[in-house]
Amino acid sequence: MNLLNDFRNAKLARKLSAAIADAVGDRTFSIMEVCGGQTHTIYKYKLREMLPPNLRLVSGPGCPVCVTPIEYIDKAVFLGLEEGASIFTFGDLMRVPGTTMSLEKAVAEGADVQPVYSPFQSLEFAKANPCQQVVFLGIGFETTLPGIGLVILEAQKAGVENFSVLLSAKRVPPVLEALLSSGSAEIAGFITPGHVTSIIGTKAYDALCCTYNVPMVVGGFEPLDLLGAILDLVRELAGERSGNLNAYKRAVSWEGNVKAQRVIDEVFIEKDDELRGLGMIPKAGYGIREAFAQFDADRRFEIVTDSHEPKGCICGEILCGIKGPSDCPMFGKACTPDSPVGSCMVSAEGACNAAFLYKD
Amino acid sequence: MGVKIILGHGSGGRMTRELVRDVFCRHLGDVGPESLDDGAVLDCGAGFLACSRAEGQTGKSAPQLVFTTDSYVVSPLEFPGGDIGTLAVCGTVNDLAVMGARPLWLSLGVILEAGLEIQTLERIVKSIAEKAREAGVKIVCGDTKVVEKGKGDGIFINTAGIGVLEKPMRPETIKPGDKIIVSGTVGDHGMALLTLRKGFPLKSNLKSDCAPLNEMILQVLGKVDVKWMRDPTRGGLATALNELTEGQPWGVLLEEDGIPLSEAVCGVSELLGLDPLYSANEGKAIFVVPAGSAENTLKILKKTSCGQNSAVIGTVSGDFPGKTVLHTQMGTLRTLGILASDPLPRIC
Repeated sequence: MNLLNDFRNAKLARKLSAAIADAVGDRTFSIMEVCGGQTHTIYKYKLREMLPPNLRLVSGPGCPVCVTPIEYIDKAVFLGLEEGASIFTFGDLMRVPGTTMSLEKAVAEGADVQPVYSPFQSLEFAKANPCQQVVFLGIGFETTLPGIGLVILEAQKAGVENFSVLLSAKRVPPVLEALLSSGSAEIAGFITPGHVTSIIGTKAYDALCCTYNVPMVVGGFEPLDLLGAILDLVRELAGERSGNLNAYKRAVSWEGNVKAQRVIDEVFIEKDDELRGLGMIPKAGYGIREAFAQFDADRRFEIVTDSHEPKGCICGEILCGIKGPSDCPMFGKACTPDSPVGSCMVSAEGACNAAFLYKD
Repeated sequence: MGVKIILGHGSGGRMTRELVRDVFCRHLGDVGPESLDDGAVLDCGAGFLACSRAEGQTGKSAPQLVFTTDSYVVSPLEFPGGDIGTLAVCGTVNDLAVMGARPLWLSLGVILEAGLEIQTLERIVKSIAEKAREAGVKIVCGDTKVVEKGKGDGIFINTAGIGVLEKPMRPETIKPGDKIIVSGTVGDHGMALLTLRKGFPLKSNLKSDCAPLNEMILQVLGKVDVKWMRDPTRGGLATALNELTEGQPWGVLLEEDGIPLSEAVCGVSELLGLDPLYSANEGKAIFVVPAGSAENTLKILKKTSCGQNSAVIGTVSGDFPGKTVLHTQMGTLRTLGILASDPLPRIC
């Protein structure tokens, strides 16, 4: 089986599309695809054209770069420019605007900022340059966290003294709970994120489905993955059920990746945390446990920032599913991928970026 | 704090174009280039006629020259399929060839960083010689400078090239129904270099497609009425076609299923969340030809070493004025915009 082309089969897609229209009938539903990667696929393949107009797809908050508070960028810029630390980051973060500048612009000001594919690259650099402070920018949801945890474990084992992580790690289930309990976005069902759920397992949503009486289906990232998940979800909605289903079985199980969960538990501790645009959410983030305090950049450095959000940016409402990119007066005008105002325009997983990139 | 140059200004996408327009073209004004093509067609008719009259020759028409220049700053310097020297010859030769010219002469300017191994330099110069022979061009002048360690990236190269115009391109004759042909798989060079960057976690068998295309192109020009050509380097196929369609009363409709892609490029681009249609090529040409000539063009291309995987990938269409639109595998239509800046690999 070809994992790419077989999940882009136009014939099967048309069948799924017809079945979705059939299940939806003349009812009106709003459903949210939680992950930015899913949003991207929906825009890239114009999947909305294959769905009935009375089924509304709302982009969710599952874009790590988008929900990272602006203060985080300011801290990273401070560490690069004022502390002279070598900053290692996932590429997406380079262009996110901070209060005064992005990391990309900090490079032009003399900061050493290097995009990497794996946090281990930053540890290797730290080992090879023991006199240089090295900071890895650890952002992301549960998907990236085990890798960051492993690096911290390895740094401790190897006794690396010049390495630390600036952490801004988020948890998906509390964020979904915050959306559900506020009720502002009126979402009838969720397509839960494929990669995150491969780590935490579908068990993480059992309680949410029961408490809020809302169906959830894990979806993958290819067009047929998503259409299949949408079909499962609208069938639940049509039948007034609130099942916690899995339409991404080739990657996701009920219990998830137990080894990865153990690493997360060992190194990190749940905490109330701020998400950009969404505000403070109980238990929505992770901190670094006391036993690994020396690898926490927030504890190692005295970081000074004076952060404030850009005026007029509605990323927060977009991330909550209350508004869409085209509702923003700056979209495509003052805010473009070249000179983004809000974080949703930067990351390939951001709703505004996808809407801009794939606009007609 | 003033606005500063960031790496994105060199991506070949929208940021580069805006920099060229807002800084270079604005200040160069009347002494600047007339168009932003890959090369300039120089009409040296007046001078040539004066010369030939003085020598008593008459009835000979003046040749038109095509002039281009390009700088090469690649990391790593050597990669599967070539090195910075191969690029410096092929890139400039191809820029001339797609203007419809026969490349003849190249200049070679190098900026070396103190500390570069002489052996590395020798390998690069050997590549330059090999590719120049293959392309049938001569390196006729050059310049060498050395900068302090840390002020360059091993070696930077600039080559300028001069060729004689064989057949001018006529993009103004393009009309709906014309066919778009690409001479092989797309995205190879860009993806190959990405996987060689320090710390890339995967081994791949990707190889740069770097090659001089002038022989292949001259074969086509000899038999087909080509309306437009371009070598889709930085910014890839999608950016090159956007430059073609911008402001035109017609657009381009590409068939996703028809675009040749190697399996390795497919895999790596999926993994990194990058689009191979925006990835650089260094040995591919795009042709716009009349519908009736498409089959013949393919036949000619497939007989050449660089064009074996060539394919018709789309049609000029009156339905999408000014746009490049992709008919996706899923049967939906998606507009391919211009790349803003260098694509960034995603987090997860």
